[in-house]
Amino acid sequence: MAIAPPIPADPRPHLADCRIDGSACAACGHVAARQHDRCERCLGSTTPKSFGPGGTVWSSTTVHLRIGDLAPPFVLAYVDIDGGPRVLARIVDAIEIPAGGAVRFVGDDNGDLLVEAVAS
Amino acid sequence: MTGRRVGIAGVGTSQFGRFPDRRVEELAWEAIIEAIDDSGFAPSEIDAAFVGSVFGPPGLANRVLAGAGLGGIPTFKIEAACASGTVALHEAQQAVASGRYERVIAVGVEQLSTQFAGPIVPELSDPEGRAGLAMPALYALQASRYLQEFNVDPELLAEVAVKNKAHGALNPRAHLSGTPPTRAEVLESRPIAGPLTLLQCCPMSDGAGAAVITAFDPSSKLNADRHVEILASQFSSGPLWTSSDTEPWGFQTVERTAARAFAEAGLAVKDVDVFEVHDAFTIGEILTLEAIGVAARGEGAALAPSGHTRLGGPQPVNPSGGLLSRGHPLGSTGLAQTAELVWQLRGEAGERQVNGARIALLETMGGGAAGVDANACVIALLRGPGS
Repeated sequence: MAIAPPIPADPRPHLADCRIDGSACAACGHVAARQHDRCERCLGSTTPKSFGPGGTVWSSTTVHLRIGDLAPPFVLAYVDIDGGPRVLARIVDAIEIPAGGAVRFVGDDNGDLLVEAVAS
Repeated sequence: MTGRRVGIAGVGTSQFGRFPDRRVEELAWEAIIEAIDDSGFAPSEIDAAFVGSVFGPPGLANRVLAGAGLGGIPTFKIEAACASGTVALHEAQQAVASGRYERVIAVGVEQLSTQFAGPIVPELSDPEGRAGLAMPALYALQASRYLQEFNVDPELLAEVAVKNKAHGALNPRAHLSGTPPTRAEVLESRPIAGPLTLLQCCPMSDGAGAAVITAFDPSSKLNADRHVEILASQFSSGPLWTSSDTEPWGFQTVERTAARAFAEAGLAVKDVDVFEVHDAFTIGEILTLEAIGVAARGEGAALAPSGHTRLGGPQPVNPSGGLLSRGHPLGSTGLAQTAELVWQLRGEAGERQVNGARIALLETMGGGAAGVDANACVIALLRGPGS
């Protein structure tokens, strides 16, 4: 019986209290959806910064394929977090939200970021 | 162009389709042998090889070359997502232009049928792959945004598939070469990732392509009569794609690469007679043609239905059938595109021939790494023999 190798370390952004643990660069102002000491754009020094819970949909799509444990249909969106980075998130209840729509983070599903629409 | 002038002496491809019972090497041998025979060179005259492939397997390049009369030459394996084969072509061109080698073979090969049971499985070490972002969904996010931003009817996306599959029906090497679907059939095919339906996605295919690259000497009768000159070849990887970027991922990388290629060749987009561009999904062709400058932003979707980009139109795009018909064995695609354009420029494209084609543009853009505008984009401008 073959032993499966460990799956890779989780690379997804981390959510705490519906905010993304990220960082901001003191030199160039670049914001990132992960915490690291040096800016991914200019290698300047960064400070930890959290982003959210609000954001705006850049685009969303309803996926009709089974992806691993994710059963279709589910909706993926690029979300521009207010004053923060762009991240991939899943929209709860598989509801597509047009570009420009306001959303907020509501938690995660096994590490996948979840957002829902904010009533305008 | 810095350095020597460079040309394509010969091209070849395998058949494209699903061939899980064949060795992956056999696909490459089919393409390499055709390219070498086409070039008129002996295998012993080839100095080096650049081999593009995404999923390998490890050691593939050396096994391929050793079995095709090319063992023992310096061998470089390149992975650049969908552009792996095109980067191999670019590096071969650069190697000859700089004088590092005299004659180089660029090879692309991929056997997806033995790697995946269905679509490509998203990469678990990638932040977006881990969250379930399959390739069709990555492109669907572009498409969804495009339709909304420019108030475009989804039927116009389907027109790209109708056009390219009509072209592909004329290509005996294409994976999908049967009767082309109607617009209604494209729209009513199985939904994959909204707004993209199954017939707007390239099939999962196996195949290979190859091209022999050498110095171009216009005073040589063979070169002048037979060789296709590479007037420009530009290669870029994408910068970070962030919340301050308004254009879809990949767009700015294609736009920048195209501008550099046209400047290098001293040509403008209106000079191009025939294109092979990256249409892994219908939206890809539309955005690419806008980034290259064939249409303004928001107007690329009108190109296929207007007839501008159809065979018989002023600037045919993807006369081979594109990735939507030929298939998209990732690493092989750039060399399959190259072969089609060389045949077009030599007047050997049969029923798909673009009459009088003199200048051709080749574009491949590979994406999929989270947070990056594009993994790689290559754009080359080619000039036919005797022109």
